[in-house]
Amino acid sequence: MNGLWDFLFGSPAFLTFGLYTVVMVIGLALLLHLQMGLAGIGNFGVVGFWGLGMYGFGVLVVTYEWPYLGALLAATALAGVAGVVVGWLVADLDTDGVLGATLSFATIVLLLADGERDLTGGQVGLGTIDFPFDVGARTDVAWLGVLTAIVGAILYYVRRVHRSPYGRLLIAVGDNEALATSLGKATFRSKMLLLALTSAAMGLLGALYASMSHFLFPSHVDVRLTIAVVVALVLGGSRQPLGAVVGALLTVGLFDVVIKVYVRLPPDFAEQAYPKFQQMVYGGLLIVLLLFRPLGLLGDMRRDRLSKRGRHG
Amino acid sequence: MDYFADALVIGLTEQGPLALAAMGLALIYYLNGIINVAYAETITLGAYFGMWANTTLGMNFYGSLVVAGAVAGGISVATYGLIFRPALRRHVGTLEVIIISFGLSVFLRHGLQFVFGYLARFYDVPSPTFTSVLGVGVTRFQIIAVGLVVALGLALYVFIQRTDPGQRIRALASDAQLAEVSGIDPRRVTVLMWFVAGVAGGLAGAFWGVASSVQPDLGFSRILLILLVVVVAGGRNASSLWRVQAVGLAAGVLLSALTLRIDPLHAQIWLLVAFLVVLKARAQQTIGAGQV
Repeated sequence: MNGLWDFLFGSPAFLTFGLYTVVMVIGLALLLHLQMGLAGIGNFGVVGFWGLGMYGFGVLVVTYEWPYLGALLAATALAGVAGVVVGWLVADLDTDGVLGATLSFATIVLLLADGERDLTGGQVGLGTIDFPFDVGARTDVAWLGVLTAIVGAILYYVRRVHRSPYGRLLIAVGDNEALATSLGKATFRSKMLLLALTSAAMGLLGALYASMSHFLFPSHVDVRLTIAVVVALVLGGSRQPLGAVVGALLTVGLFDVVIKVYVRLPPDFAEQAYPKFQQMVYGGLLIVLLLFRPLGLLGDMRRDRLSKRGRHG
Repeated sequence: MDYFADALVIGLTEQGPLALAAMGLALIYYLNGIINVAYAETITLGAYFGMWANTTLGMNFYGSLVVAGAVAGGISVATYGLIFRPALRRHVGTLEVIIISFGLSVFLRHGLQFVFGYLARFYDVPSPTFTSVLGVGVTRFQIIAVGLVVALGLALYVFIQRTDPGQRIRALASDAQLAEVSGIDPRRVTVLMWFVAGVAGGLAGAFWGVASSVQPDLGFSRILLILLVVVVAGGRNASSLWRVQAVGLAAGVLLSALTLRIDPLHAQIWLLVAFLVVLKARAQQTIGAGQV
């Protein structure tokens, strides 16, 4: 019995951190599902909104010594405002322009985290950030519970949106925005509302991560998180609410929980080659999925809803 | 006055490869409408293979340029044949093609580290001699890079506007189906364009690599700027190739002008902000003109 216990929870800190990453990516992928899967906004700057929440919170708590809850709310609001600004910026851009603008936004957040050393500590790091409560040695498990509750609420909201007129309007915007506008729908306003809410929620997830991580570094806000979220969404199915959940479990769950906790990797390999191998698999997955199974595991095989104007090959 | 001269010379010489790379990416965008994020790795691999020819095969820098360009051109054609052509034939949407190219970029960037290692590597070239241009010291490689940008730009212009294959390219870019029924073989023309684009990227990578070091993220750390140059200046008509070159050089000069006054990190931020402002202004102009 003890053997099984040790096997399941052998390295509790690793396990908790891995599970935390999985649940967080589920949350981010659910939010990206609303932006990209429904409304067709190709946001490649997920980590920018998340990172703005994380660093905004960290700077307020550590540098300006704000109370925990106040900083949490302010950081969430900051990410929401960024969502509106970026949303306004990309409102009348084509997909290529949206790619450039959202990548630029995420890069600016990264450069600020690196460059504003007085506020963020730059490469030295920003910390220490503690949990807002203390329930003993396993406070990190309780924090995982808090995150799971919030991501559960996001999932509930996403499912509600799918059944609401607002959700159908978002799908219409994603499929053919000009048509939706011509039918008298307030497409611009509904996109702004969507981006404000979803970006704020991404910022909240970033702010919560600050407590889990304790120390914040610019490397937290590089492009890898965006890739993990996009892979999870595309693998599960970008049009289904549960796609994000399935995708994150199969990617981050496999690499950051199952393999890291239960497979004994040689230390050298785990340090150097494993993260690169993980990224290679993520990249390869994106290519193979979009070529052969564009609607993901949960989507059906038909492409007709996604097919755009033909182009020669 | 000195400030402007410094900014101009430093910008043109240090960021000359930017215009070169942007023209390569713009060619693919012009012909296939693809913003290829994995072009970053075409650049990186050009730098790596150039360095390999230079250090392992003992070729001098100019000889290694041929290797860098040829290999990068081959890689570019291979990515087209293996990934982008199948994607276009399956009528994958714009957003999905971008995600595919993102995936390819991630795959290649991490895969190449299993071949070349993850540490920075260096060209083995004699330490550069500096020539004074308007009071700024520049190396011979930098002057050649700028010369290549101009030469390649001119060559492309002549090729696309004045030759028969160029006419086919224009026909293909403006109406693929009509071009095909007129007897133009799209595959040969497209492969040629992807090769030329790859050569431009590989040469840009080699010039960046010899100026500093060759690293796995050499291309990726610069792809955003390249992409912004193409998105802001590009369009799917042949004259946009000229605009891309001009905007690429202007962006280089602006970046060096900013870097001379503030630290490099903030200079990059302001350059990105400038691009975003132009992007927004251009989009609204298009709407105002009723060209949506």
